[in-house]
Amino acid sequence: MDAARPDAGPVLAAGPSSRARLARLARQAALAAPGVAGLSAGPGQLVVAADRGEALTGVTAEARSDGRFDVRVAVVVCEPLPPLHDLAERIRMRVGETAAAHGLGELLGPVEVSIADVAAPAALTGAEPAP
Amino acid sequence: MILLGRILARLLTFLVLVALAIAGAAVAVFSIGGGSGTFSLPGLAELIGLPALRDHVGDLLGDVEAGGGIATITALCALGAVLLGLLLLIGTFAPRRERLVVLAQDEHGRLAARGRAIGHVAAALAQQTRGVTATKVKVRPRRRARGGKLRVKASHPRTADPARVRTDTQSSLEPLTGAFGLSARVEPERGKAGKRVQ
Repeated sequence: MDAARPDAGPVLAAGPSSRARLARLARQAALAAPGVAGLSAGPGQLVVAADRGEALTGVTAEARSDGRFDVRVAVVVCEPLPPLHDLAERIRMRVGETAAAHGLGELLGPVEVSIADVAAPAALTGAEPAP
Repeated sequence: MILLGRILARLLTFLVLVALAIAGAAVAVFSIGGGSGTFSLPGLAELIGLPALRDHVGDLLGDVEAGGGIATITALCALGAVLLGLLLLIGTFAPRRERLVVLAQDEHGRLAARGRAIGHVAAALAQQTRGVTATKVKVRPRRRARGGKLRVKASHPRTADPARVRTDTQSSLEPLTGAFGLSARVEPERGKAGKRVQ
């Protein structure tokens, strides 16, 4: 019966889930925020979202009972340290705007910003730091 | 405790798997032959001394039934085995949750930080204090509420007044402690020779 459905097909051929799309967008938005040197999965590699076999480090998106997703980004902050409240607000705003621009604004729940580490300016090479 | 349990569980899992693999290979090899020859299961039992072990365990159980010192030692060993088992269970099933210092929380989300990041910032602030040569910072997040505890060891030269170092370091930490509900305990300690004063 599935063969009659136009959208039926192998599972692997399906597009990314809303959760994965939201996690990817949140990751991009956080990386683009000023004062953020990179994202970190943490010592136990706990802050990782999976997207069809790919690991998105430094971000998680967890489903809530109201249908939205809790998003967490674990950022490595550049020195000199920016005001953390402002930094978190900027990241939240960027994540919200990016999600809304991609039609996922209604799925976005609270955004947790975790400061995973502080990177010295000399250590910043533009590459994402090792988790 | 959980970390120890986790390490033990991983180590034991590895060792048990290696032992199982070796035992499986041995049983497979010794199953080739039949009867009671060298390459047979009875031969394997003989080779690893199972009959002797059976006799030994039989003697031990007899001693345990008789009571006395051996029974007490056996009971203590059994208790240790139970505790080790509990530790392994904790190591296997305890949730892998990262403890973060919650700095702020509202309906839009949470701002949190790993202890290491907070420690890094606290050390940088404390080292700006006049007379402080080196710092060691430990961070303990509160379990449920916002904030946490900082324990700062501030090294100072012999000529510096420890009470003054304490109050100055507390003041240096104020941008961090005041804004995020952290409490700081500063312990001045005389630094080792050769350390430079800021």
